[in-house]
Amino acid sequence: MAVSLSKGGNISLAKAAPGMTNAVVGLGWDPRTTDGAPFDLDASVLLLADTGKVRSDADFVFYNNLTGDNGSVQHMGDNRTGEGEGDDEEVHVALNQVSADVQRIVVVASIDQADARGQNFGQVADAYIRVYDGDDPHNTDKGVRFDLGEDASTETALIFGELYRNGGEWKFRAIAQGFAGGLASVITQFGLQVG
Amino acid sequence: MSGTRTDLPYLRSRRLRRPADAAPAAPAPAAAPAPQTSASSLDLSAPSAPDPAPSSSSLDLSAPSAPAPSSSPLDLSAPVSPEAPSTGSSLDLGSTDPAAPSTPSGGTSLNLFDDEEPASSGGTSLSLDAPSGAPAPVRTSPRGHARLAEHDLGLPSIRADERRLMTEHEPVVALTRMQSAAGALEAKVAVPNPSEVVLGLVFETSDGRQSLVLPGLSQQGPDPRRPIFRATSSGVAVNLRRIPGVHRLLLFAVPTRPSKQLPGGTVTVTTYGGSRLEAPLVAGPTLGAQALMTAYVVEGRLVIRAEHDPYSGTLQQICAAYGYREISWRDPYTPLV
Repeated sequence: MAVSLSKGGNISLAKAAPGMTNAVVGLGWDPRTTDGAPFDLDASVLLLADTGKVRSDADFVFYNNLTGDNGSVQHMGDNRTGEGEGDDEEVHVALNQVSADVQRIVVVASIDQADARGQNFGQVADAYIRVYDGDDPHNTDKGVRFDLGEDASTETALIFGELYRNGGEWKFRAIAQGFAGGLASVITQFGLQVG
Repeated sequence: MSGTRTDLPYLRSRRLRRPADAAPAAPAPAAAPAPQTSASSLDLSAPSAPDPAPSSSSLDLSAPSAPAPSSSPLDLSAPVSPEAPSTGSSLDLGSTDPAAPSTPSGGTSLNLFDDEEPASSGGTSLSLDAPSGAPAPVRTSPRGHARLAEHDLGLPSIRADERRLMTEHEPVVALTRMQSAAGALEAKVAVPNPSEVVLGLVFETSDGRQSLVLPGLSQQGPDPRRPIFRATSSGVAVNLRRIPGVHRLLLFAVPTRPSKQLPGGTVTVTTYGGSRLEAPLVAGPTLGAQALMTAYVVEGRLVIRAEHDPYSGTLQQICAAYGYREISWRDPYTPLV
């Protein structure tokens, strides 16, 4: 079975998925049924240097910039509703081809127009993030998974987890840090500005 | 080469109507257009000479002196060659106050940032490494996804909270990918009596659909259930979260007085980050509609141009003049939406 992490936990990807070079970061969620506007959750990725900031705007990989770091990071596009089986959104990372000055790959999910629609992650259930081998996707013994639980309430953006370099290898950390200000509040933490 | 742009002939006809209007420093290209293979191929440069290069899928938004890899009769240049924009294409986000970051909420927070200051400067300028005017190489990732290289659009940008008057000499502003993708782009008109004019948008989606939104006619489009464009009596808005689904748009004004007289005032376009673009709304008689601004999505970035168009027309004429010919009409003032 894939390794299951709890909040704050971390694991070496070399141990969780030996031999993995093409990592797939999958995110999933199930918006609870409401009578209001439909949910639209978006996954995005920030590529951070050792300063803890992005190197440029191009290091923010999201629905309007689907590739980063010369193609080593690929956002696979938007699933608007979160309905259906499997991951709702995926990001592919060619671990061996990520630039040496990228130290962390932070994975974020946010709710579009959350304030206008009165939505937050308290209305989202079964959120998870998992990392598995894109070249061996059906091997359930490899990979790592983090189920975020039901802690979120008023947050409109969540850092689900991150891949990071540590001593020459890639590791994954389960984070689940919430932000009430939506995606804008997250990316400004990492050196980006919305406007 | 598989297609020809349908939004180009009007430009030729507009030049024919007023040949003297051709920019002295930017002569109009020859009448025969070079076929284009992609609707995203857009030449915003001031062409120094027509280039009959057969086609290219690349995009040239280079400075006027740069040779165009793909000739296009679409001339979106300023009437005279604009000076180098003071802001350049490199977005200096560090010189403005950042939006106040929200405090990470407590409930689920593992605070990783106690030792970090919120982003306040630097490090966010857009990396635009491709040489100006160079064709865009297509890179293929290890997993087979093609990607266009970054271009230097060579166009003025705008910072958060900055106000920019779009003059006839500098009518174009290119937003960054984030500015083009966050929140809404809202257009309003500031006039003494707001009831005398309404704004509308005619648009083309990335899958080629053309339609428009106009108060009292069609207020949301293209899909009213998940609209990208909205029009109300107070203005129009584009949901930038859906920007991947937008190809281009035209902002126009329709006077509501029976005399079809437009009041004088100002058109403002604001972004999520508080940037504000302004263009004059010139008072005078119209034939029913007046084009104000156009916007194209170029590699995820919105390029907005104040048209300063001296001509008005019926709404149908305006739409056709700007290349929106896939719309049916009840009469010259009323589209079938």
